[in-house]
Amino acid sequence: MNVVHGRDHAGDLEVSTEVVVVGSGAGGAVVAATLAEAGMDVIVLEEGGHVRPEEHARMRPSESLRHMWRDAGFTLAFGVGRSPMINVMMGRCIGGSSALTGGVCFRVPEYVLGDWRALGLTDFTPEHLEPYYAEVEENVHVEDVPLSARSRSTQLFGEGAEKMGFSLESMRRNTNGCVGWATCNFGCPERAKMSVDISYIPRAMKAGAAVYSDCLVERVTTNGRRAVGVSGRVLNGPNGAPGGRLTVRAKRVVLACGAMFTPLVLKASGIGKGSGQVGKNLTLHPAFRIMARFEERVAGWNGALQSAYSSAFEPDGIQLNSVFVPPAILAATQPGIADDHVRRAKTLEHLAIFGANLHDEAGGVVRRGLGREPFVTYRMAKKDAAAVPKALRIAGETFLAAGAKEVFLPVLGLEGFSPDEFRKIDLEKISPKRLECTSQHPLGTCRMGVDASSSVVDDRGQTWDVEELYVTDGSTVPTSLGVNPQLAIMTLATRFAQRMADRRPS
Amino acid sequence: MPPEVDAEAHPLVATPSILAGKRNRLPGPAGERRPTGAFPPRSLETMLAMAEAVFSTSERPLPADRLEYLRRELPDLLNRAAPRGRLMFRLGTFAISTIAPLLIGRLPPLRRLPLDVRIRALRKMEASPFVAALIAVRAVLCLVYYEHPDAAAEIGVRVGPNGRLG
Repeated sequence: MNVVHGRDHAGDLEVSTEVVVVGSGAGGAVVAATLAEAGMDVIVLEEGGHVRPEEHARMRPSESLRHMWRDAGFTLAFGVGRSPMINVMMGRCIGGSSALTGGVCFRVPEYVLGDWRALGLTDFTPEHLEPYYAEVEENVHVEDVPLSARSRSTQLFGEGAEKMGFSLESMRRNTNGCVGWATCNFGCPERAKMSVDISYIPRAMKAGAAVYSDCLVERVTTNGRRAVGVSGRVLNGPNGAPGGRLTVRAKRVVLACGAMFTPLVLKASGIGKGSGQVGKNLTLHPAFRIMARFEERVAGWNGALQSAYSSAFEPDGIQLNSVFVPPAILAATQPGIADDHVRRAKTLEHLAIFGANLHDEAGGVVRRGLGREPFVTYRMAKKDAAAVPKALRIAGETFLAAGAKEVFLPVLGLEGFSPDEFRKIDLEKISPKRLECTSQHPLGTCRMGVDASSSVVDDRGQTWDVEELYVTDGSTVPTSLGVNPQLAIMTLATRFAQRMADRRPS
Repeated sequence: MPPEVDAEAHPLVATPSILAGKRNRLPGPAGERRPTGAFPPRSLETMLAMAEAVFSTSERPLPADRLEYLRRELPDLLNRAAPRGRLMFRLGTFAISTIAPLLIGRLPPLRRLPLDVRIRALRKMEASPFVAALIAVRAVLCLVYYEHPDAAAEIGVRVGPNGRLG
């Protein structure tokens, strides 16, 4: 069975099924596979196109942005007050953002689960989640990144960390056969990343699920207080524009469009007004990269893109993650014009990078914007803003401890700093507005909870307002995770799906 | 000459067929390009004028084939951004086109200035409060430009015969 390309389908598309899953990323694919394997009739609808993993494997980064990333990677969350503008990266393809991650898999930290239990979600203990984790980790082949896979960039940061009194731990990733191309975000040439387009989607299809690409869902259709399907447009118009009408009748609707689009679909359907929480509570894990220039050739593109982390500064809301990027992306960070720029670009192979994520408070809101894209605003909490200079200081000093000759901060318009200059600069005085900030972890906009007045879905993922309407993506996460979320999303989706599988929709 | 690579397997630099101006075989059928609000030619010309300034050196101007490569590749990338993303870039290129010349006492647009004056104008803008627009546009230029195999080789990116970087 193959993916049905909506853009090749002439005219309207009208189908009936038992379960329709909207979105083919980490949340949707897991539910689709679980329910199809339980014998249910399942259809998966994906707004993006279908790029086969072997095609994605041959793309350059800029081609991946064109074909796989939403908005060609230019989606922004607008900073409110003294908050930075944040570039939010999301997938728009079969496999969703799962196809574009670094593959990092963290279980939900116990202290975060404690916060969830404090909200009344008392089931969420490590013991309760263990079988769900175990199932997902087996299905997507979660493994430790060996020390040998660490790039020289990561090794240098690790050496500095040891001198600074903290250490790096090996990450776990959903990989099988990684040889360290360091291009995970833009497709794996070895197809070693076990993203859901390689793992769960084929399983769902083998169990009989039908998967449609190029299908834009705009609304959930309801009959009274019960979901009975979805409607939207097939993207089969000229040049991929919305064309034919899309009508799917279903006994159960599962939304897994991600934290930016699930709330928009709910709002467009008039669902969730009671709580006033739809689209609110967005967390992003604002991320910064700190670079350093060494005398030795680093060539950090040799090795796993992400391999090690440190949670030593979690009490300050900071997680340090190894990261690297392909040369063309790295060159894009280099300042200067003409000789100044080219001279700096010629030293790329001497650059090391490390990243810092903030365990942020929910400061974002997703609203309907003009056209199909959301309008996202983000107000960084004072606590989080205070963590930024600390994160920059720690990462910079760590590189200096490893022998870096120059440190580059993610601040618009700032040149590199010599060790002495870096130690003298008052990082507190840098306006957050000038920070170069990214996010790949939008979460929390349809949060799970125990009452309809403060949450959007219950602990089974079902919306409070409408029966047989479920949400199973990262938007259900009740509080910020502080760690990469894909394993948490797949684990929650597995839990939701297994409960759905226990009872067929009537 | 571009480094010899396996065109079928190379994920980091443009393949010979793309450099030759042939249609990208990867899933970029005409059907995927968005029809509305295509990136305006004037904005593209500003970006190319900026590219000439950013990537030229005192030893050589920007090679014509790389400029032509950017002319083909940039619209293909930018046309796939959503309308708001395209608008942001239009505003960014407009800001560069008008503000950079004014900062050195010259009349806009930037693209009409000689190369050496353009370089001076952009350097001035990089040191000004308007640097954000310049950084955003330069980042996109770099992203595409350094996927040209000659440009990649020039900055020391060593592509092995199996396509991996050395």
